[in-house]
Amino acid sequence: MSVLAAAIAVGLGAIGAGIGNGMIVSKTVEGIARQPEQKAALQTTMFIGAGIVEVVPIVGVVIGFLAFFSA
Amino acid sequence: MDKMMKSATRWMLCLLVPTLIAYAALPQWRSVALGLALGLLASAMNAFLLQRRVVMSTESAVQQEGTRTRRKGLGFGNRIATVLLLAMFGYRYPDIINLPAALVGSMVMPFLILVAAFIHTVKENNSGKG
Repeated sequence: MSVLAAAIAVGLGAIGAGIGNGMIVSKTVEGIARQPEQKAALQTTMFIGAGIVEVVPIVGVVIGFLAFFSA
Repeated sequence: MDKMMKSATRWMLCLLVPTLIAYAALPQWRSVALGLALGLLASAMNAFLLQRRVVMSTESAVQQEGTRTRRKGLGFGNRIATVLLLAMFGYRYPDIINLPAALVGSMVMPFLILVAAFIHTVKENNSGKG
């Protein structure tokens, strides 16, 4: 069961972070390519979004490792 | 982004000071205080790494085709490895580092950045109105 718990924690976290980060980076690069003068504002928005999105999978991976190794 | 990071770092240091005081003054809370302090430092390191990788990846979007340096990813593995190392220390030495405190500390910096960005945006919008 602990292997299943670790797999669910890591896998669902990776799915969410992958979709979210992919959308953030693609839209930011698209916006910078269209309006290079807005680069600083778009960088800031991307930084905030990527930082918030990546918190959940990082903690999910840690919890997954703990569930896997503490069994 | 630099101004926002500076204010978020200042707030992180303001949170770090009570944890260090608690580490020195409260022996029974020493592991919790050390876990929080190390978690805060790990999250600050993750935030600085993310800032550097965001700048690098967006710089490559505006470079010319021939001079473009290829950047793959935002260093997500490095940030996971940092927090995982801290968690493994907390798991191995539970009497020195409290693991839940370390995990909570490692989640703080992105929310500080979010609050700093909100305040920065409100200030910028208000300053334009006169």
